[in-house]
Parts: sequence; structure tokens; C-alpha cells
Amino acid sequence: MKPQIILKKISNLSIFLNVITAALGILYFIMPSPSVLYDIFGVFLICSWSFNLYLLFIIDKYLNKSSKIGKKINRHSYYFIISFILSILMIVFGIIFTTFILSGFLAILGSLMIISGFFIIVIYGIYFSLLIFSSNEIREGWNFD
Amino acid sequence: MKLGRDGILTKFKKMNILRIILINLCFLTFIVGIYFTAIVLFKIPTSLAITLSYFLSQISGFLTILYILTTILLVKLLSTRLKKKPWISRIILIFGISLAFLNSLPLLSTPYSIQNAENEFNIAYGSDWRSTIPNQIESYMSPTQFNFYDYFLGFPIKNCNVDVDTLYYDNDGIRLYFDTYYPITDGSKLPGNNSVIIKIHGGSWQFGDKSLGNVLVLNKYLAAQGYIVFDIQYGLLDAGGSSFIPTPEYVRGNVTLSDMVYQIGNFTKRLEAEYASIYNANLNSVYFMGGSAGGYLTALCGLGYNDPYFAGNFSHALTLKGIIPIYPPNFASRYFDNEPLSRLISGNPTSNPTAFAKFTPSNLVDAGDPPALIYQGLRDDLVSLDNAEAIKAALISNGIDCMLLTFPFAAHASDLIVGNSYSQVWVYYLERFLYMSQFSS
Repeated sequence: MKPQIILKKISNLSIFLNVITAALGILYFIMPSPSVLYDIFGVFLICSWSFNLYLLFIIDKYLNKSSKIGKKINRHSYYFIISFILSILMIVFGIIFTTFILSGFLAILGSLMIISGFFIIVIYGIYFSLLIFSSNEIREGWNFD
Repeated sequence: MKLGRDGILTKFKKMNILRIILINLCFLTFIVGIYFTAIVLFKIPTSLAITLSYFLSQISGFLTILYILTTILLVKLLSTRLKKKPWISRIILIFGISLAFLNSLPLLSTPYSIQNAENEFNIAYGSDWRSTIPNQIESYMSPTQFNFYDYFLGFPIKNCNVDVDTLYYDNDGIRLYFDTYYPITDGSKLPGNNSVIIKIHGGSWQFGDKSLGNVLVLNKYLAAQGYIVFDIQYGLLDAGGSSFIPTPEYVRGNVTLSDMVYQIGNFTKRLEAEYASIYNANLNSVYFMGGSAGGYLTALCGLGYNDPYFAGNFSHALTLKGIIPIYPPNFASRYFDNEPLSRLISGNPTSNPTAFAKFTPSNLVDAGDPPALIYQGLRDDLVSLDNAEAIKAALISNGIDCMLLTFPFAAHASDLIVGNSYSQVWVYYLERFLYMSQFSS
């Protein structure tokens, strides 16, 4: 299969996974009760994060960074990696806060850190995947040959 | 907006500085990552490493993702400079993926923990043990042993009533309080059926406290299931040391193990006389539960409850249905023969063999003791597996059920973050043990 088609399919799948993860995440944060639906949510969460990571890794191989769109995607890939790292740290510290402090400012802050960390990853994941998907046909942006 | 030549140069310099900072941060992350990975995998006998080991295996899944992200970032940052040396990128890639893989081992070992727990339950209760739990009751419990959403987004905190700081002991300059977690609705219609859990915190018999130091999230979770959780303080040895574990001064003094047993026993008497009626507690179904030093006291009180050596300490109106020691020390001669903990028992194993024998919980087991569910991490540098195995062997040899749940790569205190891969498995089997043991004779 041609790299251009592979990249298009991966970004397409990544959009789908991130959208489903975001939708189930909203449902989970509103009603966090044990359910098989949330088991599926957990699997989607892992898959969407994995595809985001794979996309971040693979685009460097084909991206033409001297073109305008190539520069834009490259810039956003850096922003996405940094946001991903910061979001993971926010979620970890959020979990630690909510484990040891059940009420007060730090408990609210902990919950907000988890929720915002989660949504930053999936929303940026959707945007980044869309960017790659929509620019896939622009020849100057890629070195597929 | 168009930039002049100077503007472009300034922007280029800023980009370069940012790139250098990021490259250095990536390498720093890798160096710290090597140290963290070594702590997860091997015993490093420094106080910093031991303290870090409490947390690292619990968040190793997050560390795995962080190392992958760092690897991708570093390869990207160096890709333009290393076009002629692609092997350097490959080395970074292999190194980063290896680091990520090693940190994912605690998470990847979850199926082993589940299989081990299944085997223990099958041996104790028979292979169809799940059929003894009605569907309506099981609907209150975790549906699966592990899920990713609790791991990556935190364990949901349940609603319950909480009464804090009830004084139950004030003597010889030591004041002891307890907190009570109890259900909002009628507990008799929930799995717990108002059963009592006396929860004893850890901290090396010198430090620690109820509440913050005693897995609050689990207290609330169990209370929401219909258990009355009494999270108690007990007297601690003041040997002059300090710890990062918060410890109130009013519980510290010249305390021995006998005093601790007396104080916990005193709580059981006041539970019978006063608190049971206040909280509608079911005294026909009582459990001791605690971690580390609290796990030791759990085993000591739970197995010594009917031992003549401890006669007079405890209320006899309570029916013990189970004990839940979490990474419990067992051997008195190993833990109480050196300063400062030797102050907890008078004499030494040679001069006072009876006390050392009686303060070893596995020696207290008899046929009248309750079943036990034990948690033990296999990377626990403070309390090794043979402690839990000795308690299990003593119970099994007396015909009493004992399930020892072991967790690979789990360090001491690895159950503190309740959503982690160990705690999820633990909670799944704990809530089922608590329910099934209520009906044992």
C-alpha cells in the first residue's frame, strides 16, 4: 500500500477514535458508574492515544518541511507533543490530589486537571488528525516518493 | 507581517535556543527515566529510592506514555541535524521504546495478578464461587478486575456520610480519635449489611494517621457499599525520628505493642457499648483491615482476639468474620530486635521468648480464627513475601481459608492510588471476599 494511502487511513481512523473517545469521555465525567460501555471507553482511550502517538511519529518520515503546509503541520506536531506531555502530567497530579484529598480547593483542582488533561489530548488529537487528513492530497506538503 | 533581516535572525536564534532547551530536557527525562526504571525493577537501598518506589509502579502506565512522547520529540528535534547519521535516531528510538516497555511491565503483569487471585478464590470457595453472589448484590461491585478508564482518569469517589474526630481514648497524655464512614441509604439493603470494618493505618508503628494516611477513597467506596468503616488512630512510639508521613503529636509517646493492642481492644469495647447503636453497626460481622504496621496489628488483633495471652483486651460481643492484612510484617524477632522498634516489646527474643512468640501473628492461629485476605507486592523491599506466606501457611494448616493476592512489581504501599492496576484487582476481590465471608460460620 502506498504511504499516502496509509497516512490517510491512519489519520481517518485517528479522527474516528478521538471523536468516540471524546463523546464517551463526556458521558463518563457526567455519569461515572461502573458499566460495560465504559470498558469500551477505556479501550477507545488507549487506541486513540496510541494512534495519536503513531501519527506524531510517522509524519516526520514523509513531511516536506520546506513547504508552507509542511511547516504548519510540523509546528503543530511540536505543539501537540508538548500539550500531550503536559496533559499526562496534569492527569497524574490530578489523580494524586484526588486520591489523598477528597474535599476543598485541591480536590476540585485535581478533578479539573484530570478532565482538562483528557480533553486537551483528544481535542488536539482530532485537530491534528484532521490537519493531516485534509492536507494529504496537497503534493508539495509531502515526500511520498 | 514581514520580518527584516535582523528580525529573522532573532527569530532563528530564539528557535535554536528553544530547540537546545528541549533537547536537554529530553535527555534529562531519559536520565531520570533510567533511575525511575531501576527503582521499579530492582532494590535500591536509599531512602529516596524507597520513597519513590511507593509511587512509581502505581503510575508506570503514565511514565510509559511520557517516555514514548519524549522519544518522538527527541528524534524530531535531532532529525534535521542527524540526516547523515540515521543510526543515532535509531539508537534513541530503541532506547526510548525499551524504557517505555520496561515501565509498562507493572501494567502488563495485571493478567498474572488476576489469574493468581482467581486461583486463590477457586481453592478457598470452589470454582463456582461467583454463583454465591446474587446479581442484585454484584451490581454494586466492580464489574471487571481491571479497566483503563479508572487507571488513566482516576477511581471515582463514592458518596457516603463521614463523621470525623470522635475521641475514644484519652490516657497517659495520649489522645486517640476515629473517623466513621457510613452509607447514606439503609446499609442493610447493600452488600455490606452494616458490617463493621475497623481500619488501622500503617507507618512503621511510629508514624501515620487515620484519614489521609489510610486510603480515604477506599473507605468511602466501602461505606457506599453498606459497610461501617471505623478509621482509627492508635498510640505510636515516639523514638524521636521524623518522616514525610503526617503524624499528630498527641498520639505519640512511650508506647509498646501491648499498649497498641490495649487501645484497639478499648475501641472494640466502646464500639460494643456506644458506637454500634449510633451507627446501627452489625456486630455479628466485623473485620480488621490495615496496611503495613496496620496490617501487622490487623493480623495480631484478628488472630489474637481469642488468644489467652491477650485476654481482657477485646470486647466479646463482636463476631470476627475476616481479617484483611495488607503487606503485613509477621516475625517479631525480625522487626522488634533492633533500635528503635525493640522498645515496642520488653526484652529480646532470648530473654522474653513468650512475648516474641505471641507478638508473631502466625503463632496465634487456631481453628476458631476468621478467614483472611492478604495483599502482598512482590517488589516490597520493606516487608517481604515470606511474612504473608507464614500467616497463610498457619491458617491453611488449621483449616481456615486464606487467600494471598500477590502483585508483580508492586512495592510497599502500592495500593494507595486506588485506580492503579494493583488496587483495581485488589478492590474487585476484596469486595467479593467481604460479602462472601459474612455468611461463613
